[in-house]
Amino acid sequence: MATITFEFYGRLERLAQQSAVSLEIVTPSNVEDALKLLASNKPDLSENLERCACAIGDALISRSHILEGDAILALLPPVAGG
Amino acid sequence: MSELNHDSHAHGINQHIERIQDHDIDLNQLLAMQHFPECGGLALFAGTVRNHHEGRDVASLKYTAYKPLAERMIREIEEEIRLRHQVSYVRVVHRIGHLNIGEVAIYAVARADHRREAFAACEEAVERVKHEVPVWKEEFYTDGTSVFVEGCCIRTDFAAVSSKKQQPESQHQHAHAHQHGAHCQHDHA
Repeated sequence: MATITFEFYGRLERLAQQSAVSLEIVTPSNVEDALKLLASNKPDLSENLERCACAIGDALISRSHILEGDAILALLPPVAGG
Repeated sequence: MSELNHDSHAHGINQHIERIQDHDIDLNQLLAMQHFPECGGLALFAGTVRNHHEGRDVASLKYTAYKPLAERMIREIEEEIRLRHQVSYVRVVHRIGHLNIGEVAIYAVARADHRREAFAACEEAVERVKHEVPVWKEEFYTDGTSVFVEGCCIRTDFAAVSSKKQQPESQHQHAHAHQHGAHCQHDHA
């Protein structure tokens, strides 16, 4: 098992009413699996997750990225700078 | 001008500046006027907070960012544009935090031998940062409500997913003025 900490940004933080949540996941799992787990725990977020990019540190990662152990996964909804 | 001059100058000047800042941006530093004597063109864009959006009266904005990625992406965008337009210098700095009407949200600076390359590089830098970098804008209205502005999806694998699901045309209703591998559902003002 591993602990995945999901960090919420933009509108996601407001929807979640918190900035982060940690969940236990079997390993190895990929990002898609982790997001399904999150959606089942936070149904209010589920319809927004498809359009979120995911990042670990300073790198964007795909849904197929394998999570081998504990990780902090930043969830990035559609961006609107400027 | 020589390629040597482009490369020897551009990498280091103001590279240390944070591209995401939570305080007033030092424009004089960003312009780097004491450098690049070969440049005859300087293009500057300043994005300021306006008091209206889609018919609503805006009182203020709040910008937030995912800094680890935003810092890296802005630097990469600057360098890609510098090389593509063969200009000497490109820098973009974006504010985060609460901004009032008239305050500067973003500066983009491009310096080049001539104006055309400077204009083009500056415009492309602004467009790309607005649509690709993880920054979010929440508008606060005079009636006391607030809304997150709809933006661009930056999932690199989203287009393939959405096309499989045959998303209705009504959800993809505008021309893309920018280039990225994803999908967005907002007006490009």
